[in-house]
Amino acid sequence: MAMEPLPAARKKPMTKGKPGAKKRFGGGDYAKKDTGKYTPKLLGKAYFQRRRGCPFSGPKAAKIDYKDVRMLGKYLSDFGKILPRHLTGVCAAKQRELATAIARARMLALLPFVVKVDPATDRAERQERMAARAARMADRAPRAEAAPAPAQPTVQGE
Amino acid sequence: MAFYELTYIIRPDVPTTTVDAVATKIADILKKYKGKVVKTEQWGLRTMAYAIKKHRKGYYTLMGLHMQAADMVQAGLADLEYQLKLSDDVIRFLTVSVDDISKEPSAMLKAKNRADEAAEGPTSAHSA
Repeated sequence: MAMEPLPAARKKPMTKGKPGAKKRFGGGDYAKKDTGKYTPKLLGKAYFQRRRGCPFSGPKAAKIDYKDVRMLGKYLSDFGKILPRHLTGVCAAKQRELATAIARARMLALLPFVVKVDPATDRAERQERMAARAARMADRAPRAEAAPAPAQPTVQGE
Repeated sequence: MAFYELTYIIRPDVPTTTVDAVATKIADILKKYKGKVVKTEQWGLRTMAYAIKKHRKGYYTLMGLHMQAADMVQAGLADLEYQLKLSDDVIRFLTVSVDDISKEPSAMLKAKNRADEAAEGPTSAHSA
C-alpha cells in the first residue's frame, strides 16, 4: 500500500500537458534553464580540445622543419616538453618527425631543453596564458562545427 | 649529388668580420672536395635558448651545401666538421642531410624579416 502512491505522484507533474513519448525528456526544463547561464559541455576540457585530423597530414599541411621555431613551439608544453599526440592530434609518423625536428632545434639552442618555471613569479603570467588559450579554444569550438576552422586561432596567438 | 644544410653559431664577442671569414673558410674547405655553398643565410645575432660555453647569444648562419662528387661526400663532410670542431669561433654546428635546398628564405629568416618590418615601421615614421 505504501509503495503505490509514490510512482503515481512522480509521474503526475511530468505528464502534465505533454504527450506520452516526451515523458523521458521531462528534464529538458532543467537544461533550458542551465544553457542560459553557462555551458556544462566545456567543463573539464577547457585547456586542450582535440582537433580532428593530423595538422601535418594532407595536401595543405605545414611542413615539419627544425628551423621553424614558431611552429615547433606549438607542440611544446610550458616546461619545454614535447606534448603527447593525444593532445595535439599529430599522427604517429609525423610525431616521430616532429620529435627529430625538436631535437635538432634544441641542439642549435633554438629551443630550450628545459624551462624552469618559478611558481612565485610566473603564476600570474601562466594563468593568463592558460585563460587566453581556453578562451581561444572556446571561440573555435562553434566555428569548427560550422566549417573547417581557418588559421584564425594562430593569427590571434601571434 | 648530395645536399646538406649546415647551421653554425659563432660566439658573440668576436669582430663581425669573423662571420664572413668563417664562411669563406668553409667554402674553401668544400672546394677541395668538389662541394659548393649554394645558399647562405645570416640570421644575425640571436639570443640562444640556453648558454653555450657561457655565451647567451650567437651569430647564426645557415648554409646550403651541394656536394657534387659522390665519392668525396664522406671525406668532405668529415673534414669540414673536424675543422668546425677545432674552431674557437664556432661554438655549435649541425649538418643535416636534405633532399633539396629550397631557394626561398627559411622559416627563421622569414620570421626575422617580419620582426624587422614590424620594428622598422614606427622607427622610419619617427625619423621622417
